[in-house]
Amino acid sequence: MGSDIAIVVRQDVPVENVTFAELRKLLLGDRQFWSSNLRVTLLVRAPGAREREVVLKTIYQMSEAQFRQYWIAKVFRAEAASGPRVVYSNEMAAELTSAIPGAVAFVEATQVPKGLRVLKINGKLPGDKDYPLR
Amino acid sequence: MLGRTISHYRILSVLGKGGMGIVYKAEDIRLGRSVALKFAPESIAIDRIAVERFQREARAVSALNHPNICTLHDIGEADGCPFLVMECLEGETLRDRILSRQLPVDEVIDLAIQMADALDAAHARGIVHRDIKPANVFLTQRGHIKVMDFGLAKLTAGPSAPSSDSTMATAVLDNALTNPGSTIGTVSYMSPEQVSGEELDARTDLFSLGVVLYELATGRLPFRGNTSALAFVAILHDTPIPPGSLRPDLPPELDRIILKALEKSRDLRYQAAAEIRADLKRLRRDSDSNRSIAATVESPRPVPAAAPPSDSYQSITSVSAPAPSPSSAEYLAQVVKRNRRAAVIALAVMVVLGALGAYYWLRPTAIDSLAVLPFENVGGDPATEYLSDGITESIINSLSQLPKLSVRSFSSVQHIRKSTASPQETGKALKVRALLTGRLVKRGDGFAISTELIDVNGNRQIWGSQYTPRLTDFQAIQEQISREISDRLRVQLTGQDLRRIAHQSTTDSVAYQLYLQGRFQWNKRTLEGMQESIDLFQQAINKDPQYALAYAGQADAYALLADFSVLPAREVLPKLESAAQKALQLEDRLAEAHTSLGWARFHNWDWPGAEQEFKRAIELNQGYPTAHAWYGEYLMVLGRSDEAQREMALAQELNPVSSAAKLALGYRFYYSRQYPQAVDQIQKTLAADPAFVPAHVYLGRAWQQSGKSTEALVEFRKALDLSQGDTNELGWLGQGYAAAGQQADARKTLADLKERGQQTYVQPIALGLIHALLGEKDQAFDWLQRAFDDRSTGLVYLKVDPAWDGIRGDSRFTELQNRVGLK
Repeated sequence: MGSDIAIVVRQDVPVENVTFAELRKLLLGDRQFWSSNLRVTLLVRAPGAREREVVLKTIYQMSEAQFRQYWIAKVFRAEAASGPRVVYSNEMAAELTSAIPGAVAFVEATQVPKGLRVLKINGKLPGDKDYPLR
Repeated sequence: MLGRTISHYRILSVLGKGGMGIVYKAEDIRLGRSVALKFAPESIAIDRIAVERFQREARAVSALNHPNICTLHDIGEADGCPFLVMECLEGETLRDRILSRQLPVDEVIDLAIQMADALDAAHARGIVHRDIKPANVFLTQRGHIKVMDFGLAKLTAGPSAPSSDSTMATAVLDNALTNPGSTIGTVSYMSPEQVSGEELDARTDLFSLGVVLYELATGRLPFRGNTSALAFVAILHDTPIPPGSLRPDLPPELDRIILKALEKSRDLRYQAAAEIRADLKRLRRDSDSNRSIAATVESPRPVPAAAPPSDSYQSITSVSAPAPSPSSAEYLAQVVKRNRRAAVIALAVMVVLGALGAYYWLRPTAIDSLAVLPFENVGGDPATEYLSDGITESIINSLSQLPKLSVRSFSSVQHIRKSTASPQETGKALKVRALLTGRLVKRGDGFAISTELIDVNGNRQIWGSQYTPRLTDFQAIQEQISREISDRLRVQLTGQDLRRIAHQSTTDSVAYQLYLQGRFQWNKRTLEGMQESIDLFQQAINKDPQYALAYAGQADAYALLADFSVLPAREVLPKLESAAQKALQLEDRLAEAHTSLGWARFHNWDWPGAEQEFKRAIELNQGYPTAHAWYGEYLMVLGRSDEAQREMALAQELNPVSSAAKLALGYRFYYSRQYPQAVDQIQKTLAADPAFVPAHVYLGRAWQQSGKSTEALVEFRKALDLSQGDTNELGWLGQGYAAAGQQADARKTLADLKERGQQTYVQPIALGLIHALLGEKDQAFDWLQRAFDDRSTGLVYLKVDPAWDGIRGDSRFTELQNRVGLK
């Protein structure tokens, strides 16, 4: 059993808590802005990482193939400018989240880097009972 | 020394001894090939500075990569004695050849051209031989020249201190004068400036080449003396006897060329090896055309009964036919006496047939097929991988435009990386006569690219070269390589062919890089690669909106989107067709774009339009396997089985390692309802590529039609696992359950598919098939109608797919087939 997966964002993201439904919209690219001028940039770990498996299983509820198919179609239909950016380590996720305004990434709760903020889901933080990302 | 292993070379025998030291035949035990080890003479071995210079010069010489230059593979040191590792040649030196017999004029010219070519290549790299003589020129058993010991005269000239050419020349001169017996052969080939101890440049080699040509043509040296000193006097002061006066059959032009090379003043001599090579080639061309004109004009002319044989007849016999034996001659004389006219005609026919026979058996087999292996990305930097693949693919595309040369597609070679197979084995596997290999190394801001063209028959290098481009030069480099290869293969090019090779689809180097990256991703044939490629092709188009290849790439990417059922074909086909049309609007000869357009029309059920595009693509590039593969598919679904078989076999031949091409031969059996053959062929495909998902699906389908549902389900499950849960594969598993009578599983899968359809595209035809196999005809036709609306790619198989047999008799099925155009 691994630890919970935390959602981390840059300090400039004007959100502290999201519902699971809102989180799903964010990840499906159906909500693309945090605020009127702050675009959401999704950072997702490369295949094989536990963070990715948890995100695909609990939020997207898709297989790996479906996830790819989903984003190709979304971009083809011009419903999104691009798919999630792939990161290859938690360090890279932290670095890019710090650098890109509006970036959101998923890291093991025990490895949350300094300077980033952890979002609540349905008012719960990693480690709380009923926290959904684990 | 014999039997000893030095580094990874096992010494086998002594090949020779001379001023350059001892030469051994050895076996490279790592690569399993024969090599020649040339150990430096003791005078070098004992002098550390000389050893370093020896190694430094050897490294420079090792950069020479030319079919007429003996290749230096490696350098090493054993017990403090440096040695060179060179290719092991079989044949004889030019010295031996000159001594054995007088050479025909044609052969003299041919050998001279090869030597000039070798010198040109070396001089271009600033390397002067300084010791050109027949003993340093090897003639292989195949009649190819190999100039040996480039630059080594400089190394063996004397002690380490002198380094300039003039001091080196003086040292050689001193050596020659003090040891006349041992160097007399060498001094005869020295240039006047060498004899005078002046600074040397490339023109010294051209003088020595002139001496060698003189000797080749006449069997005599132009400057002779009983001692070295007298030979020097002759070189400096004597005018050589024109070679034509020693051998009357020499063309006057060859006389002129040799005498010009022997001019004592460097300024009056040929200034470059390329000049002498051009004059020799012109002479060869004129000789050939004169002979050909004589033959075509004279031969058909009726020979008068009493007339002696014509000149042309004599010339043919002198060139090609063996002299008749005395008994034959006597017999012929008797025949001539009886019927002179008939005999002359009969003899002429015999001679011509003999000549043709000799030509047939003795002619070198032209290289008509080639595979460009993926260039090695030395260092394995992933950031430059697209460049090594990109240059490979660009060269393939360029060479594929050439007539009479079959070039294997990129998809057929891209799996051959770091293969341990020999060139012969690789050539056999790919069914080609020649291989082009290359290496790309990142060096600072630029790159170093080396290439080698190998005749797989005998593992002979035909050509090799090195380039140091910057990133922005890559397009120009691939064109240069293509042009040089066509030169080497002596492919007869028209002006149009040359324009095709030289054609630059874009002048924007960034757009070209983006295109290469797009192709690199597309070639992965994965969802991820597809996603990347669409983005990269679009970026290339944004950089250069007139870039036809980028639109063709985009069309190819869209074709994969529909083929992989990522999106409904209804959505993809208009964009695909638009991209292909745009590419053709910019360049109407792009086979790739015609193929993609054909695919769009095929799935738009525009049957005549599709066939027209596939045929046009094949007409433009017969070596493009995708065109044959997709045309084969088109023919197969129409029931034109024999034609389909031919096209699919061609695709497979052009792309022998392609799993898709192998599988096509298997599923053609499936659609022809020959299930045992289908199983057999598909199993062969899987033996070579066990993770090939479509092969597992088709194997399952073939088992299913054979009544082996257990085996079928095993294959469908494997396909689903290997595809990481792809929806298409889930659909095949669902219909497998239905066909096997596992209704609960089939219904659960139906439910899963419908749920997936809320988020990602699910081919309605897959749901229709499950309902059909469950015996739910109305629901099946409902989903088939949705498939029709989506232009589902699977609908083109309705006519031939046995999976639909359960509802084939229904009038709604016939109506659907008619609407698709599959009457």
